[in-house]
Formats: sequence, C-alpha cells, structure tokens
Amino acid sequence: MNSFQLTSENEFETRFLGEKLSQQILEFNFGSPKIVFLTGELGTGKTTLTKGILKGMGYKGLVKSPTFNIVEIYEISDHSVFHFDFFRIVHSRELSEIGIQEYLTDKSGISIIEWPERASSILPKPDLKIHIGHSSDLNEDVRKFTINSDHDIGILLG
Amino acid sequence: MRILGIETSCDETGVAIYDSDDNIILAEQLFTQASKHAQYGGVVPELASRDHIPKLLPLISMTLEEANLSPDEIDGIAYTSGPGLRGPLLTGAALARSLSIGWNKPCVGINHMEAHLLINLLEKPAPSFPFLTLLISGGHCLLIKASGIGEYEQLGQTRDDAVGEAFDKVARLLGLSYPGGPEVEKMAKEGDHLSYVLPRPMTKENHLDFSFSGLKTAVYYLVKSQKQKNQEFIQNICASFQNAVAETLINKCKRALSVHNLSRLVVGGGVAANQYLRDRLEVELKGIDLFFPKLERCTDNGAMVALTGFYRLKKSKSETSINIKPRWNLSEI
Repeated sequence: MNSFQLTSENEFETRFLGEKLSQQILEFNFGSPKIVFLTGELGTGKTTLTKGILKGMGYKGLVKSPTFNIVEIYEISDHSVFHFDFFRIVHSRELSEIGIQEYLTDKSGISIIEWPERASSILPKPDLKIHIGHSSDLNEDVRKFTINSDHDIGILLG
Repeated sequence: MRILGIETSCDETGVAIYDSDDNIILAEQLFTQASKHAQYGGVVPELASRDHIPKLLPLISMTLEEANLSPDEIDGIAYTSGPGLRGPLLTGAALARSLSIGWNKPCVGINHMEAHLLINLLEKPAPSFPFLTLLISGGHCLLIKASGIGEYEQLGQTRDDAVGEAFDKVARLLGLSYPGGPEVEKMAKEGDHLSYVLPRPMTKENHLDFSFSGLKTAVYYLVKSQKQKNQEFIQNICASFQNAVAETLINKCKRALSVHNLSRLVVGGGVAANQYLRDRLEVELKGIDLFFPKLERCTDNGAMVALTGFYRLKKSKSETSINIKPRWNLSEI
C-alpha cells in the first residue's frame, strides 16, 4: 500500500491536484473498470477535486454536484466517468435499484465515489482512496489530503 | 384530451390525469399520500425510495378511480424521459409504453425541467409568454427564458451545488433532519437574519450562473468555530443562511429580468415552497408579475408530466420506442 499526505492551500491547488491525479487514474487496470473513493466531511472539496480530475481527463463542460441525482455521467474519449455521491443513501440496497453494478463493471468506466462508506458492503476495493480533511487551525482554504493506493502513484510526489 | 402523466425521474412516484378542455387536473397521486391506502394491503410496506415498480400500477389504478375514468377514456400517456436517474426513468418509460400498447393510445416522453416550467399554466391567472423562470430544487438551480411552449433559453445555472442541496447540507451541519428545507425555514423564523455575515456567491459577477458550495462551507466554519451550539445559534445561522440564499437569487433574477427585458417571473421547484423566499421576492421585485405554483406542485409530481405531455402530443406523433435521456438539457428540446 502506497500512502501519501499532501496539503492544498486553496481551491485552485485542489483542482490542480485533481488534474495531476487524473493521469494516474487513467493508467490503472488497463481495459478494466477503475474505482476511486473520496471521503471527507461536508465542504472539504470532494466535488472540487473531481472537477480537477475531469478537467485533467479532457472534459470541458460543467461538473455539478451529484448529490441529488446520485450519479452524474461524463463522456470523455474512450471512457465514461461516473461521479457518484452516496450522501443521500440510507440502505445500500437503494443502489441496486439504480443499477449500480452496471456502472461499476463497465470496462471503460471510471467511478469516482463520494461518501462510499454509506455502501461499503457492496462496493469493490478501490484503486485509489483519497481522504480530505479540513485544516486543524480552521483555515478556511487549507485542506489535508491522504492518498492511499496499491498502485504505483509515487510520481505524484515528483 | 385527457392525458395520463407518469413521473419517476428520481425519488418521487407521481401519477395524474390532465384534461385539456377545462385545463384542469382531474386526479393526481403521489406515492407518499397513497401509501396509506388499502391497495398496499393496509400496511405500509417498506418500499425503498427509488423502487418505482411496485408503486406505479396501484397509483395508476387509484388515479383512474379518483377521476372516475376507464382506460378507454384516456387519450394519451406521458412519461418523464429525463433528465434523471437511468433506472427510475426506465421504469416509468417502460410502463408508459406498455400501457400505450395495451390500451392502444399514443405515448410521449417529456422533459422534466420543461414540466416544472409549464406547471404554472394550470394556475389562474396563468403567466403569458415570454417569462423568466427560476427553477430551484434539490437537484437544480436554473434561470430560463421561456418565449413560448418549446422555446426555452437557459440563461444561468449552478456551477456546483443546487439550492435545495445547500439547504439539506446546512441542515445536516446543524444536526437538523432531512429534508433540510422545511427544517431550516422553521428555525430561521425565530432567528436574526443579520446575525452572521455569509457570502452571496457570484453576485458581483455579470453572468447569470450560481454557486452554493462556498456558502455551505462558510456555514461549516461558523458551526466549527462556535462552542455553544444552542437553539439561538442554530436559529440565527438558519436565518442568516436563508437571507444569503434569498439575496443571491433575487440579485440574479433582477439582472436576468432587466438584461432580457422581461416583466414576469415564474418560480418553481421544491425550494419555491419556502415562504420566506416568496415574501422576499414579492417585496424586492416590485413591478414584476410573480407566479408560484401550488405548494404540492412545487416538488416533483405527475400533474406537470400530464400537462406537458398534452402539449407534446399536440405537436408530435406518438413514439414507438422507449426513450430515456438521463442528461437532457432544456435547450436541446
């Protein structure tokens, strides 16, 4: 398991980190689904990071919060990005109603999942786990990132 | 014409029958109301929120019964094609299409956002075109110019969180229950809306887009920094938050009305049920004709689908396939 800690000074750095991560994510499991977990309290910037990831993958349109719809789908060349948010999920069986397995097993699919802990029993092991925390001194812009992966993501430190 | 409308785009299961001769809804059912009825065996089964399959047929039977109509007396069927969740949309679409084959009636898929926008045509007086629409709900925050039926121009939208979502998340931060809108509104009534300074996101910018994510984060830090989270604190935060939301929405509506030279504003979506917001809009948009749907038609419902289906069927032929469009922008109609 590779584990890194990073600090982002503001929203722009968070997006930039997302852009850098996007290239790593694309290289995971060639020809198979790729899965990313995003955890952290409300307002830490999970959707902001996702905006960066999608931008890094070449998506140019608007990226909205998926909280209400549970999933927003973005088509980029060769891949479909499924941006999930399980914030509103109470029972993991609700996810079978929206056909979660179809998304997760899509070979060209990249699933970025916010609040995965709401449905951990039915989710596969992620390729990348990112936890975002508010800064300890309540600086409203600073965020702490903890990134875990079984893949080689060392290049991030470079 | 009498149109049966079926709504299953997300959480709500709604069915209604619209009669175009009198421009009225003959009958309507939402699952939440229906669950008490005997059709479910007297006991309310624990049906998951987005499992529309077991809810739809009983709701349709109840709606027909309430309108005292047989399937023969229905002239067409409308369902929500999108935008929304793929699974729930497919359930409604497949059932609508099956009924259309079984009953030999025309069938059409409609756009959920257009349905929210047109619902006020049921009210008296109804707004005449052109008008500005502010659609505010758990999943949306949109400004749309409607020049006629099927003629829509999206002027602005949220770049991150929807308004209703901001209410829900602020409620969560304050330990209030879900859905957060009514809870925050209730608390805010007793609070001072000037007690905390919260951002009015993007109000200094000339475009008509919104952003509510930063407002949520600002509330997070207020809550974190407060040691005593007593009732008064919660009431004051709720009031300040509501004030910030109202001022942001009013700012953008004023700009849109003036730039596009419009004098009528239709407000729709679940957040349109917020009385504080209605009052503020009325006070601050003097000289503008304001239209709000009935409270029960602010949120997702079958009536808006039936009404919109009527206009669609008048214009186009019946569909022969099942059509769902999870991402369907209003300007692509």
